[in-house]
Amino acid sequence: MSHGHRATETARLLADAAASLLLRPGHTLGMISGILLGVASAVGAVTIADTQQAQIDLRFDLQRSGIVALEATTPTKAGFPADGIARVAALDPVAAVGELSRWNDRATVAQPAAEDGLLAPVLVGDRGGLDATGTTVVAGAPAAALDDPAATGTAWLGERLAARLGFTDPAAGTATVVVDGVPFTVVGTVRNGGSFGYVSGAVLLSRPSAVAGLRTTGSNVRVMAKVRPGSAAVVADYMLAAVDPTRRLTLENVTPPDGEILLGNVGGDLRRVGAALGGFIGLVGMITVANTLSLSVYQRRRELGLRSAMGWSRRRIGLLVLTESGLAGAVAGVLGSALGVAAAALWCRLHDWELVMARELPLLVVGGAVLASLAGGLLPAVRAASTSPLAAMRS
Amino acid sequence: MAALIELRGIGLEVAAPVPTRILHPLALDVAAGTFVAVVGPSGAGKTTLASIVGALQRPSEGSYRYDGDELTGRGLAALARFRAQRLGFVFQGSHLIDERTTLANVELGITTPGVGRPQREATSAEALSWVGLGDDVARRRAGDLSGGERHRVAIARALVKEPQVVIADEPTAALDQPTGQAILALLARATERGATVVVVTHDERAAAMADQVVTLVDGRRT
Repeated sequence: MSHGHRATETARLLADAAASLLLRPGHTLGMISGILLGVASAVGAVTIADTQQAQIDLRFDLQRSGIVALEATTPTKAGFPADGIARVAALDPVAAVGELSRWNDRATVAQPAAEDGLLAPVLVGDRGGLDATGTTVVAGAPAAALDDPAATGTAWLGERLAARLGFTDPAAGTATVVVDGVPFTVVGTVRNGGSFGYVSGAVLLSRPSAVAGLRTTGSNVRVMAKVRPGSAAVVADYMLAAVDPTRRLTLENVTPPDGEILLGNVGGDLRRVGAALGGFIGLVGMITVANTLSLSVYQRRRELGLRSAMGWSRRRIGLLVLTESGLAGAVAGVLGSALGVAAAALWCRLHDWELVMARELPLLVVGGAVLASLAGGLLPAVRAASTSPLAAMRS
Repeated sequence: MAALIELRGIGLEVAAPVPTRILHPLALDVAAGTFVAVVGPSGAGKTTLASIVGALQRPSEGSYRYDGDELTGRGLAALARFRAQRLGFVFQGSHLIDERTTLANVELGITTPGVGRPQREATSAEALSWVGLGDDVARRRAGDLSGGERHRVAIARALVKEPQVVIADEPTAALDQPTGQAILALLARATERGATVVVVTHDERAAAMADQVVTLVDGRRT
């Protein structure tokens, strides 16, 4: 068969299978329901797990091994003394040190003309803090501008937040972002693709900007140091004295020794629970497809016998039923993905979280749904293929 | 005229559940373009003979030559190809897919690979027109058609690929007399298109219209 003929026949087979599904809506709905629920559960659970993971990251990332984090228990507007930071920076195991504090976890952030804003974290940092956490300036004013005490009224946006707010060119220096009712000129965008991913979804201000512009005080004041692995405990001890020799800030070491393992375990467990739940329901869906399609093949034996009598090969009849199951799986996958994402989005909205979802997840689950449905359709397809052409004569 | 279909010693015996002779060995020649009526009482083996002629089942003995080619011993796939290329069927119950349109039902009869949708629709509409059904019927659900219309659609589906042989199994069994007469006339007219028509029937009118009458009683040709 030529390529053109094959394409025509494939299109005909698809149309035929789609028509068969549409003409039996009850069967089709029954067939796709199991897989649809499986996909929705998997997408919802995995997406919620990812989002939960991001929330855990927000709370714990600052404390990962390889990073020393000191937090001032006494609120301060002035931040950390520059000479103290310089003393830490001079240490051999320290690669970078600086401030990256959370000013407000849930500030209302919006474009000036927008009626509604988004809830997003506001961070306060300097160049050392960005270097220590692996945060880079994607576009606009360099990180060094964060250290300019005279520069107030400016802000950097995490690139994910900039996209959510609808900024087309946030680094041009002409845009304004309103944070809790206070306007800031957007001068650049930042990104953190590593352990401090929440930075990409936050507003970043220099300390002078935050102190001069925002009416609230910061929720915490943290100094971060990126250190050589294995030196965190020693550096932390030194930093406590070096950064605040007068004990004015009442610094506290908030670096847990096993933060990395904790994160990995919690996030991994959540994803596994989601995947297992989706997989189990998907298995039930596969059995549903097998049952429903078997019933359908039994009820359609006259039609299948007719096709066989007219000269359809066993392979083509089997392919028709398999195509029906594959199409049902694809529909279930797409609808299930949408349902799962919607459920996860609703969950996040109720908790004021920003939805985090792996881009490849919908594609993966649709593929999985098609495969599960094809597996469920295999036995009915074999049964259909073995329908005798005499079935048309006898019925 | 050379026979298109040549059966020699063709018979069928089934082994299960108990050994039963369905069709005793018989000989039959069918010339191309003729109208053949297979008649006889119920249980005489008429449908079995038609199913062997239609390559729907293999005989347990004998030789079946079609246009000079031996068919006995061929595999299921080869027989399916043979049916697809050469034969059209009209079954007793018309066997339409009720949920689909009339046109879509006729399209099912097109088994030639690589025929695009526009051409399939045009050919099917033409076949429907030949059996006296217009565009209004073509777009209706098959489930909404009358008994006579359903049989006409079944004939259109059998003829749409222009087969060499059309096999009709009791096409008038469930129809009133005038409608049955019209269906038989339609099948007889198919020979004008070059088709050979084999009709299994109780209907004496079919025998009267036929070029050749094959009578079976208790699985034997008389």
